[in-house]
Amino acid sequence: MTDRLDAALADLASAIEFPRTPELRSAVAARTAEPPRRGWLAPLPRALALALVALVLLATAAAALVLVVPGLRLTLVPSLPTASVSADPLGTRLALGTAVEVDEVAAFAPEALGPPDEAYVVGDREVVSLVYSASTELPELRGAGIGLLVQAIDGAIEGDQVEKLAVEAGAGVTAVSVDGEPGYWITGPPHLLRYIGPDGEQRSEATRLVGDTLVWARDGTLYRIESGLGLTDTRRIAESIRP
Amino acid sequence: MEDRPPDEPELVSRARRGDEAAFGALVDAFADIAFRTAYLVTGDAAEAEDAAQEAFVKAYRALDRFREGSPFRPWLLRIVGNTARNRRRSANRQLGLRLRAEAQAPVETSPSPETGLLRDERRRALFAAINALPPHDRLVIGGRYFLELTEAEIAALAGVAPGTVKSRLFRARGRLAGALGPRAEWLDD
Repeated sequence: MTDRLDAALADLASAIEFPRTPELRSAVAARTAEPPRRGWLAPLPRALALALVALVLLATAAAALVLVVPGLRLTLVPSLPTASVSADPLGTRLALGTAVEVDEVAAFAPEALGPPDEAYVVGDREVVSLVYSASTELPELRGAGIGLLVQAIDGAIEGDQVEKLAVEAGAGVTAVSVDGEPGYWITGPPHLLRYIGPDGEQRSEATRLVGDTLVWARDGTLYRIESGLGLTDTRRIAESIRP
Repeated sequence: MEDRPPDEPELVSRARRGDEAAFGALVDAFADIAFRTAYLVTGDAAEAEDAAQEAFVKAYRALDRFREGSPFRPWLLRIVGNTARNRRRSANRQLGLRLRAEAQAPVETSPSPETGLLRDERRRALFAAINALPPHDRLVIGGRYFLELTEAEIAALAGVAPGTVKSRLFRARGRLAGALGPRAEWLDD
């Protein structure tokens, strides 16, 4: 389908009509000849500007517990609510039958592990899950036959689109850095992932596995890896996902 | 849509030294892609014109921060994308693009009236499905197919890392196929 869709889009492009490009040069020249307008911060003395920045940083630090990762809110609760999606949170299995699909899935696959054994998508690819079978290198996660799970949750991460609910008793939450991006290392009992899909509807799903989880956001995509490898090795794998 | 002038590095270098004529030549060379890119984001010709103008002015004033020797177009398109997004009045505005009327389409692409009708129907279905996509999907699909931008340029326009463009396109195409739904049987022909 991908090749045909590509061809159809190329055909559609030939039928697209843009408005005529206006003459821009003279208008741009007239505006560049004017002195630039000063920004709102420009008239402030440098010391005052720095004090303002410090205040903002302090406010950010106060909210750091819940807003370290862009788009992600981590909430500790006494007990988990019921998940709205629980049957098969990994979604529909991709056949991985064509070179194109293999190549496209590889965009999310950590180079340290190579291609996954299985790949799944939820809805319209709002969540892509890559499954690696348990092996001598990847300890099995609670009898599921799975050694490691990579999930990429799509969306322009704006506001708090993704919320993780973890049981406050027993959950270990450590702020970490993944390739320079802020993230969490979450250990302990199962937690609930709640996010807003591209359709604007809120969804929630219980994590099917109970491995420790590394979660971080990069370029509008929220990533999570569940594994039994510990933080150091899990982070090494996370950082081998191509930027 | 590659409209890079052969003497781009020289023009950029002269513009950085304050040569307004050289910058004017850059505006002429990139006006088309800047305006169309702004139009893809705003969906409105007047807003796109304002955004493209403003982006060129911002680019002129930021030339001292441009890394000499690197391509000018992705750098400019990042400014255009940011400026156009800031000007867009509606966050979820649909594509303002139009399909060319069939009567104006090249004759050689319409071998028979039946084939032409079928092709038009498919184009309309695909166009409607693209319009139903979230804005960030429309942007990468439009940038890739309608503006023929490179991955680096799409990344600059969308404000994301170049390495993520392929996966974003993958997802956008997946959602597009999903939005087409049962109408997409012809993709499986």
